[in-house]
Amino acid sequence: MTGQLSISKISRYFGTKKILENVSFECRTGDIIGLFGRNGCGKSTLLNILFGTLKPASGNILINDVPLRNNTGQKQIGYSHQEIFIPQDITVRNVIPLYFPGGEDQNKIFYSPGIPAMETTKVSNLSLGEQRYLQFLLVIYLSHPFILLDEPFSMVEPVYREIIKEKIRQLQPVKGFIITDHYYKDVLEIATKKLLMVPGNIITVTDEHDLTTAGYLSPRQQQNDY
Amino acid sequence: MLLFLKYYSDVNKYNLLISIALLLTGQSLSVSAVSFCSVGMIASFVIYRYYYNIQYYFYANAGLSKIKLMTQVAAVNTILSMLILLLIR
Repeated sequence: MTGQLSISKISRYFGTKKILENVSFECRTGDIIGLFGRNGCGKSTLLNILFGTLKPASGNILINDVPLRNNTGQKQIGYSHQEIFIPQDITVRNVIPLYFPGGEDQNKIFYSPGIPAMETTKVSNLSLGEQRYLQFLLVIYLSHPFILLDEPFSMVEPVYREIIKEKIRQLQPVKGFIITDHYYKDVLEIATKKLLMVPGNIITVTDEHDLTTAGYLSPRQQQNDY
Repeated sequence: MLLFLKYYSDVNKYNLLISIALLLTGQSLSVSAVSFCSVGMIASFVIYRYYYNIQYYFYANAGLSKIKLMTQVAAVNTILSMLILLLIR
């Protein structure tokens, strides 16, 4: 089933500072939207508004043309935050059933690459990259049709970055993704739509050259790997 | 259910400590029980928010909002406190 998440004229201010102004775009099932932007341009603010933890000053969020009033209750949009939100005092084996009571759903995580090796480890004893990978897996396998990923590649080792991209591609036919990360090459590689947030608003880009022209990358960065 | 129990046990750790501390300082079980569903509970919410605020995203993804979690904890604690008060009457 095809779904559509519509973000319509979202604005948000912190005091007198304009963070977002009339931001509009759409994410459909099958879309992988890469959201680029410099620090402080409002990417995380926008994701928090979509998730429902921040209220916009104005604008609407619609799912299949119906206003989204209570995302937490309606379970439409999942969100892997840039910070680790998994409780730290339990093992990987015990955290998975908290999200997935059913055995079949649990197996999707338990049999994901890398997870068997960390199953008996406490979350707090995993590296930051492993925690981020685990958090990513927990969120993408939720039933929510739209998934927000804030910095899914940051601090994650290359092997897991490839797995993350593979998992996103696997779920692409049934979900819509919005991804933001300064590891821009990974995002460019998998994104089907690329958007750049410039102060207050959003523009469509296609490649690194556009990101450079718009001031997100320096000309030197465009030539070098991170 | 498991998810709520995780939050319930985490947030009430501090609440329970406050209630035990009240008992150890010579307060009655009634005072301790009332604290468990009032001042102690509010203090626990504040402490949890201060140290573990980010974990509310964990619960929100699974459909449990901060308000829902706190309301449910308050309801369970009130019932438990009332049971204790009835038993010691």
